[in-house]
Amino acid sequence: MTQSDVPRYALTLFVNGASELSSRAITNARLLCERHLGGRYQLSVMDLRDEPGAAADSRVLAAPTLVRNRPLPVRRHVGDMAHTARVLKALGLPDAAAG
Amino acid sequence: MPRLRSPSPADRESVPREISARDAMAQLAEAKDMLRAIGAGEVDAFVISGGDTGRHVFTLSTADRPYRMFVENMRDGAATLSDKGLILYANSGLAELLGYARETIVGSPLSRFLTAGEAIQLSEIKGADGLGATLELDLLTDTGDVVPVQVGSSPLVVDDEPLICLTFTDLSAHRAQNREIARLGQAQTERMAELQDAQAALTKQATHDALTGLPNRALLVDRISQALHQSQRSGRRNAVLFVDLDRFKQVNDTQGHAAGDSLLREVAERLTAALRPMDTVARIGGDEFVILAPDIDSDVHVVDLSARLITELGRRPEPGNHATRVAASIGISVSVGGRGTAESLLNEADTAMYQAKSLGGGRATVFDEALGHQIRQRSIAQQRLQSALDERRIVAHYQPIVDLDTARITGFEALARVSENDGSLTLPGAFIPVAEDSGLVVPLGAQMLDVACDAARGWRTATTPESPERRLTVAVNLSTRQFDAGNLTTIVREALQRTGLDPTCLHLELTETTIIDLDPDFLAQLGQLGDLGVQIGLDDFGTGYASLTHLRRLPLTFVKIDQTFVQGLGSGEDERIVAAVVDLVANLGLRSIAEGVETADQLGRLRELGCNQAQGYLFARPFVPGDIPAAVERRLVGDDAGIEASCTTAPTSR
Repeated sequence: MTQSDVPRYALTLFVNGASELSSRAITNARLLCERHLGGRYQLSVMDLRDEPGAAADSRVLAAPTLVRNRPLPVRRHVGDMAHTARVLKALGLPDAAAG
Repeated sequence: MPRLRSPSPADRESVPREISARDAMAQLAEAKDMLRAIGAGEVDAFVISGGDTGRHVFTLSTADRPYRMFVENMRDGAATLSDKGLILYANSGLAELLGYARETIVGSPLSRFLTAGEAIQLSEIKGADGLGATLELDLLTDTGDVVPVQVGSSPLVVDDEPLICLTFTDLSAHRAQNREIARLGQAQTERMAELQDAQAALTKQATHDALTGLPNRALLVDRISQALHQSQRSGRRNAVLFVDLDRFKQVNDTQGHAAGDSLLREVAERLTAALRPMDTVARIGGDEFVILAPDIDSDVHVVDLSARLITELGRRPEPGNHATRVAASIGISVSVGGRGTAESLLNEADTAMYQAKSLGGGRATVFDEALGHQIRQRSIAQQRLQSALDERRIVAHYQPIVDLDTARITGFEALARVSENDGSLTLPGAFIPVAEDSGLVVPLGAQMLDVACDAARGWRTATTPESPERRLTVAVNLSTRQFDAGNLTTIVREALQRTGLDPTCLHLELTETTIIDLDPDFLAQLGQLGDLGVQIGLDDFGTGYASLTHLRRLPLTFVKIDQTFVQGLGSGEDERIVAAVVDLVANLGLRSIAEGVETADQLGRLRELGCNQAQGYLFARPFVPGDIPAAVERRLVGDDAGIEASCTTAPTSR
């Protein structure tokens, strides 16, 4: 496995079941990743109720929370992930539009 | 070095951390971020660490929960697509439709679950105008089954991100239902057709005559009304022809009803064939047909038409056809510019038809104003007679009947009068024809029976000394319509019972001209009357058929010789007729009574010829009831001189 094969960004989205807010967050997170991290990311979606331990491990206190596991340091952003610029800034992700 | 520390959760949990300024800044930023999210309503759950008992998730109730639950729990599938066609959200309904776990569905392209695959363009799903669409697609389930669905799409933009919301409605049940509906629809269509046929048949039944298939009276009236209405503006002429078959009843009676029906059908065909397409021919009663000829050019056309109809009906039947030649009487009424009503035109045509019939039949008569006047007079006379009957203003005057051997009065003929409110009397000639035509002769006859029986019962008690052979008789005229009414025997019996009159004193007179045929019912009623003990005689003999059959088959006890023959006494022919009738009657064991005796010569000849009894102005004008006892007393000692003493010079007897 070469370096380029390993996704540079590993993200986990913790959501609360199939709530409308969850759906929105999932949608927005996927769109955001696709647009700004195109091909260089791995996004997992986890349900708080299924994986409460994992949530705690990632110090997730609320849902929806998008966690940047990699690259370190771990960073979190809470909300519906609708405001792309805010999400990118909070998670320290590159803005594709900005180059 | 904090910067090199592993971020492993275990570390965080177990090792007291030295928090760098940078970490602190990051934590502060996260805390602020979370507060912002909570404030903006972008958080719907919190994870609370509960020590040994593990962790709990608390879900927030939010205002949009009903909506979420609705989408989540609805039976239809629901999904959100990215503008690249990825499924971002799927509800349990869609998961159930597809048979895949929701995790598998979310994040996958929609095309993966369509039989059409990528052949279906996203733009097609969004709708040509990008405003949404409804289309039918086939879903591919995890078991490889195909599920037809109706897909509804509605594009929307959330925070600048274009999305497509989709609903999936399973059509398999619907399709099966459609097939069932189509099957039922077919059956329904067939049933509807049957119902329509039945409806049409019913309508035809309500508006058509069953025997001939011609329109009936209701439809005819409707068509006449329409024609009149249309002519109000156009000023055109419409003719109504009332066609009545002459002597149809005889066909029915002598050849049977089947022959009668067949004749009516034949007539219907011949009439129809002779008319224009726009003409209507209807059957409105037994042998009564009516033709509506709308929009005729002139009255000449109608006269031609009726002549053609009479010829056509009188045509010899085709060989092999048993139908007889038919004579018909036609009455014509013409309306110009929509004048009159359907009923008035029918009445006029009917009147004209009767006129044609009274002129001998086999001809047409056009209704004119003179006839109209006649109708109005009839109508007034009918109303007056009706009120006279209602108010029991029918009175009788009594013409004595004298025995020619003894010169004594043996009885009286009751002659009807209407006592008018002004004190005057109306004579029979003014109301009998109306009574006969209208059927009022039935109640009139009943009242006359009552009045006459009542009076005759009084004569008996007033006559002294009373002896059976001196009981005075009373003769009352009957109309054949009283026999048609069916309750004549009852009426006679009740009149006798009520008054206590000896039945043998009641003489009932039948006018020969009104006896058309000797049907069993008529003969049975006569038999019943005879059984009551009343005597039955034939009036006006010689003016009708002078039928020997009548003399032989009717249960008669007397025959009245018509006054026309009596007044001809002295001339050879009439005298021979009177002589023959007197002989014939005597030989049959019946009594002969001469009517209208006016002169002593006539009386003398009648005595010589052997006539039994006589009545007429020679003896007396009809008496008012109060004068009868005195008259009877006088006649008790009467003789030829007495008869001559009462002779009057009145010209007629009735």
